[in-house]
Amino acid sequence: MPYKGDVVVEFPTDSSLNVMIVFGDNMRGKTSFLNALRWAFYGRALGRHLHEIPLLNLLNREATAEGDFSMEVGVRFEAGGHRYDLRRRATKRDHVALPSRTEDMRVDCSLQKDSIVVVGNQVEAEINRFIPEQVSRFFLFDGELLQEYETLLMEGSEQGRRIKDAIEQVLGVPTLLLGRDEIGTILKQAQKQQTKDLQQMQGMDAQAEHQSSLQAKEGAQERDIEALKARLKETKEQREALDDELEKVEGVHRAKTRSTELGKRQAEILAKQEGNALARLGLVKTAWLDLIQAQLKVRQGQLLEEQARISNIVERKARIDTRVEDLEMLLSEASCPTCKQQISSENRGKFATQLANLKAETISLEVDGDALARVSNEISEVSKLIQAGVGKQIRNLVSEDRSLSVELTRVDNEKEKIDEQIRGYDTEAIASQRRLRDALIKQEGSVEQRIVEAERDLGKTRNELAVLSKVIANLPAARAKRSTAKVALCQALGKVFSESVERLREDLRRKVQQKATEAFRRLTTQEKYERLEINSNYGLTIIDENGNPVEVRSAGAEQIVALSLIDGLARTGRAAGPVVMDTPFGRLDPKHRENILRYLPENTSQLVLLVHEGEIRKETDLTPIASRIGKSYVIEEVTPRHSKIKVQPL
Amino acid sequence: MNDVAAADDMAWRALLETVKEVAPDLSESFLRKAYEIQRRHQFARDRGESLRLMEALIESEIGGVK
Repeated sequence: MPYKGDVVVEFPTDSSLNVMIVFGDNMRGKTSFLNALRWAFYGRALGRHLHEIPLLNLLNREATAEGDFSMEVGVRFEAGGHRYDLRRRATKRDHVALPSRTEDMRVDCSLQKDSIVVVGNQVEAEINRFIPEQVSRFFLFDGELLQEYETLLMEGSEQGRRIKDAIEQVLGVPTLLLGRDEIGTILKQAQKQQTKDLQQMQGMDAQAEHQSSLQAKEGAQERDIEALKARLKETKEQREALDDELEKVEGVHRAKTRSTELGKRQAEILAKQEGNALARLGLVKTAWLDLIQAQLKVRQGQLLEEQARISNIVERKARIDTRVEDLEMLLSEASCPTCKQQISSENRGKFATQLANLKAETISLEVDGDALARVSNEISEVSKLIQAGVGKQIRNLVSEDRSLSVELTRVDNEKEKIDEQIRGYDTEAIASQRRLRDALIKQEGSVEQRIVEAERDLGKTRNELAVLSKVIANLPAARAKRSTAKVALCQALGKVFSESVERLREDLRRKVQQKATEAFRRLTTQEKYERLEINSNYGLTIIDENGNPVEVRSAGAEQIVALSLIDGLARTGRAAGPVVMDTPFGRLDPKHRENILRYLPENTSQLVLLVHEGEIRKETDLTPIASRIGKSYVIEEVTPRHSKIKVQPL
Repeated sequence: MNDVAAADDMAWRALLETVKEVAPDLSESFLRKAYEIQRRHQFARDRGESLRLMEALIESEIGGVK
């Protein structure tokens, strides 16, 4: 905490001047101011994710360096017609020279009510009458936590469930839930006594035995559920602690993943370059052939012509040989080999002449079989030497290599930079933590499922007990017993409390929706938005003039909806009281800011706004509430670890 | 600062509407006393006192039955 020495702040008490403004830059002490109030009332200060800040971290660093390990916050207030003086003080224990852990400190809390000391164990109860801790988040309001209300729209989210529980604390639901549970406890005892009574009555053995067995089963099931819930709680705590750790090193994990990807890319590039080098070498061996490609093609053409010429001769000779054969057979048999007709002398002469001519032609046709084979071989050899120009391929490979080298340099540089950033982090350990966290999430889901099943089984057992109780209650012998009457009364009362819970929840949601809508209509600048609609987790959807949900909402709209919810809850759950808001305007445009500034002072008994000049400009933005500002302060830096609050008239 | 009166009224109304449906024979004054005990102790961490008071209320409602 940046505050040191005595700091006195007076809140405005005039109901018409009920606004107090505290200006302070970031990191100067606005949230510490809020936490000082929280610590005074509840002994706890909260940091990010609503985690408690250890007591030692609350002490002023300059003061502790000077040997002063004490801290005190005092609040004087009025409530219910009484005047209260609350003081909470932390000091180091006498035997401790240098506190290093919370246990080295002691905390004392005192409360006076109308100048009369409230006994120690009654202090908390007295505070809770007016400002219960469970609902403090709605009036000690940290604007930076507004996004948590957005999770209410997500059904089933863990954070949404916690906020829902907190909201229901405001709205009185615990009265019925705790009543139901306590009546259940009394009922169980009554049923045990009833079982004992039945065992002593003639003819009631069977009922006694059955009831005893069901009670034992109920007890075992309850114990199982308790054990499962304890296990779930432990698992959640482990997982949340890991989440926090991992959040801090999320950047490291991402960097490591990126570094690994870059390493793979490096290897790919090097392998590709090696492949290209080998391919180039292969191509270079035959590059000389490029020089004689033209001559090779001419020779190939010549050889193909020669091959065709020789093939034609061979083919022609074969045809002639076949015809000569036919003619010789014809002349020797003097009849047609096909139709067997006798050949006339005239035709025989013609055929003989034809035969002689063909034989003469055969002699003129020179067939060199070896030549054909030689030409074919040479064609094959020449064809092997003819290739696509390797020069172009080599040029392509060189160009690709150049690009790869450039990329490799870039990848090397990026990887080196990232590796330097994450040097010193145990990235394996981080990866291991992530795996453990994921396993814990799975385990949570599994245990939650088992709890659901166990509670269902418990419900069945309790139904059986209830049915048996009704049967017993109708038996004349049992009816007269006190324990039977007690069981019947507890069952009836428990049923009323139990079934009232859901009825109350429905009524409350309707009322919160109505109040939140009223606030929203005053705060939004969008006239086409008709109303807000609430879900079972108290999340709110904006409904437009056509009755359709507005799906995409800006950060500013989320903030307005969240503020509307808070106002709706406040006006449903409790009468107007003081509200302290830390940086509530961060995401809002000037018009929305103005609407909020006009609205809030009318709906709270005292409004304290902790803001920086980026949210609210003193000279211009305070006009809507100027007439209601009772006090104005500024938080100023004395040193980086010491701030002071001083009055600053506007 | 005031009590959480508004929400408590709604809780009481929910009880009244429910009792008519599920346990009409239950006395309204008995129900009211049970509710008041819970309302006063709704934020108490230690439930011992409220449990004791509830049991005493139930015993007194049963009255003279042996």
